[in-house]
Amino acid sequence: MGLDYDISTNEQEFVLEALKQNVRLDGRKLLDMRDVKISILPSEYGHVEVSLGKTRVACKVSAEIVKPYEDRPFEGIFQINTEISPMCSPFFEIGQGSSGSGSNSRQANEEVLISRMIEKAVRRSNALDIESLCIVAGSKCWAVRADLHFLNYDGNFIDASCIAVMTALLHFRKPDIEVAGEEVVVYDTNQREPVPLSILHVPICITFNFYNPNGNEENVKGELNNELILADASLIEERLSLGTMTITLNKNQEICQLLKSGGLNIDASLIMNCCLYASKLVSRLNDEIHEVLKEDSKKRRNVREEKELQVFNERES
Amino acid sequence: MDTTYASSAVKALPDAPVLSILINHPPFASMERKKRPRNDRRLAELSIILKRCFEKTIMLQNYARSVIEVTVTILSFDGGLLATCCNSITLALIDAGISLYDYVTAVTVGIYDQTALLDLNSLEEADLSFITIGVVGDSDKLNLILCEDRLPLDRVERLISLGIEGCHRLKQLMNETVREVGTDLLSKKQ
Amino acid sequence: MDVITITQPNQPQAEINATLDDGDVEMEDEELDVDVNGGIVDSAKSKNDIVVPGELITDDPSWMRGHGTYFLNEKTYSAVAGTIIRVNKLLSVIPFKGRYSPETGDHIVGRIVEVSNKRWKVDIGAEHDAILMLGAVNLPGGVLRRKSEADELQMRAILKEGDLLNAEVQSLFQDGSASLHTRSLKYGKLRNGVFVVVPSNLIIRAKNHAHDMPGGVSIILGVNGFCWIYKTKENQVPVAGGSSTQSKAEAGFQAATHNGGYTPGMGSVSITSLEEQSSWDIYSDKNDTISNSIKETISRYKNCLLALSHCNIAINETRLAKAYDISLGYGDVNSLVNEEVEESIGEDLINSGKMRGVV
Repeated sequence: MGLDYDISTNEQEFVLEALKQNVRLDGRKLLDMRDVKISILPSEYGHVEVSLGKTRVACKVSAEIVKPYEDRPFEGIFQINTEISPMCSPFFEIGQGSSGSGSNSRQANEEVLISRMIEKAVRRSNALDIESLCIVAGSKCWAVRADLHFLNYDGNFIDASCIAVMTALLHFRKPDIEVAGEEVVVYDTNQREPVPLSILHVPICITFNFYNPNGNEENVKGELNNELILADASLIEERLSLGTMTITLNKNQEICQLLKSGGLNIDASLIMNCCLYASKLVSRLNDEIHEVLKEDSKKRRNVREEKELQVFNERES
Repeated sequence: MDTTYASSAVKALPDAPVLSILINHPPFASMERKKRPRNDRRLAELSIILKRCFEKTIMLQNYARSVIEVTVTILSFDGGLLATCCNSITLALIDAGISLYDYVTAVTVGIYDQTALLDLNSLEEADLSFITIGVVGDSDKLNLILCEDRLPLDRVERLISLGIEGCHRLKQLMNETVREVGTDLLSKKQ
Repeated sequence: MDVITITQPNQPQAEINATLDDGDVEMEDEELDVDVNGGIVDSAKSKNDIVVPGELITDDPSWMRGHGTYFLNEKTYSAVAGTIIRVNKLLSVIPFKGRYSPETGDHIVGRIVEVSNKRWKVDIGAEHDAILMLGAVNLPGGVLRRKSEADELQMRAILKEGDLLNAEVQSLFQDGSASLHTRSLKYGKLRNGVFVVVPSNLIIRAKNHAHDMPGGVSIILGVNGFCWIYKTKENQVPVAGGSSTQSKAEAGFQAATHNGGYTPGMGSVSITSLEEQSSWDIYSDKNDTISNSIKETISRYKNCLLALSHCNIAINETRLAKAYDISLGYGDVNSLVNEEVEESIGEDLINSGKMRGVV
């Protein structure tokens, strides 16, 4: 167990009191998200860094050809790897994820939830068409692997990592192949233009945090329903929150995953409002991702054209 | 700055009450007799979700310096795992005389085409999209929502309202049982 | 005073409210005394008094909220499934079941789990371990002896981990944990018997929890549900009789002559070497020789106790004696372990109680 992030009572009260008056430490409104910065590293395909305020996450997608699982011969393999190291915040510790159900520390719990959440949002919702990864049924398929690295922690890892994984998957190109019977020829990226993965939809997570301006009793029995709802909490807000809900949506208004694990009891109508609000955010983020991708492909095309011109020139001379 | 933090097992508040929930899924409980790894991430996730559910429902402030340990053993699995765990924990806590703000009841609701279904079995769960909904007491307040499948956003409202009704009915049934057991206990005290 | 119920379908709810509305508080109070001391609950009344977690008890703000309740604004709700208890203006709910919560004056049986600085930690089946201070036990060598540093060093010679003792709750700490004392003849280390645990809510609180039963066997029914069944001490001061000075002196004399059996030294102020020697006997680990027939009787009492607890029948001395009588009709001790036999003993007991009106 890493060190817990201790917040002095004074600071706690300050933050909560401010929230009650609809003010957040960084000047946002309660339901505002921080600015999302998506940067695609120019060196290769499928390497993306996302920052959400001070929270930073990097995702690298890679692919190799392996034998498919015996019970699923027509499907490729897709894995998402998340390991939270102390690099992003001293309160995470190395190798906690494997400590499993026996461990009860808050940090270990958080890690399980984060990794399961991304797994469910992206993998279970079939964002990546794994059947298209099959090359030769039963003997060869692509194994796509997304490695998530958490670089800095200032709350809301889930939203940031989901955006990072999806952008990386959309951006990634796997080498082109040709199949002749059992023989598979893999072309170098210089020989043939690599091909993108087949992405069926783009799920995006939005996390809400709940705060209770009154006592527990009011939450259970009261009829005020004035619990505070925050979107995209920072670290300190996340620590002080009394409940979270993460909803994953795509732009087709489909819920891919929804989890509100205990905490404060929230009226059903408020939850529905959250869902609707989230769907707005999702379509905005979706546009942002595609904007970034478009710009990147433009840049890459320019580079490629230059290269081709160079080759042409060399031949000329 | 970060290096000044020592990693130690010292808890921030030594007096704070601890709630621990462990789910046990033995091989004989489901159709395929499969040995599960000890640190099954799915079960770990469920136990964390349940823990968070009850952390705010148990009046933990009355249990300083104590550990409340809940162990759930799945005897036979046929759908609605999280919901059943939730209901059984509520009843077990009441039986143990632990202070709760109210009952937490949970059910699964699924959707087939346009029809909403209550409490799916494992075959239905495998093929249909479903949500687990947990409600506290007789209110419309949701303690727990879990959805792992794709589901059109405009259907959710109907599912949730059906789920809430289901939970209220469950609460009634649980209530009757608790009273029955209580009356029986009292009658033997005379 | 209008009570708002939250869609509560059950009939009892309305009746509770009705009784509260009528304001027959005084009458309730009288009944309460019976509840606590006699452990006898009027079933007709108590049936109405069952509440479950989250149930509205009253919306009258003049009640004080006690254990097992919580409130929002003016409404008081129950937090446990149990019965409502009203003491003057204090409203609390006693859960049907639950961990033993110690109260000052309770006669309990416990087990030492830890020996630490000038104190023992004792498992009494409550939420927290109880504490027995070194100063709260009778040290070998008579009541007038002061504890010394040597005593602190050899605490394990007096009581060590795993030892059973019976004691009285002396006081309670802020968090509800108990402090015990054994400064009386009837308390101290236990031997010559067998340990049984029953749910603490089944033990009926009474004036006296140590009883001599027919058959040469004595029993301590700890209020915490821990019970001790043992061979009745020879040359025994009658347990019920308490500890008059005369019997103490007498006992001291007998101890000096017999050197064994009775636990000497406790009542004596003598500091002769013989007295010193024998006073360690109260903390002896060695059992006396117990005849087979007594052993069998002890087992029979044990099984009767378990049968009562299996049937959730509240336990006191008379009921146990009754159950013992009934059990004699079921053959030898081994057969009592059977679940069906346990149930039929319970049934017989209830029926015999009904015949006489009261048990």
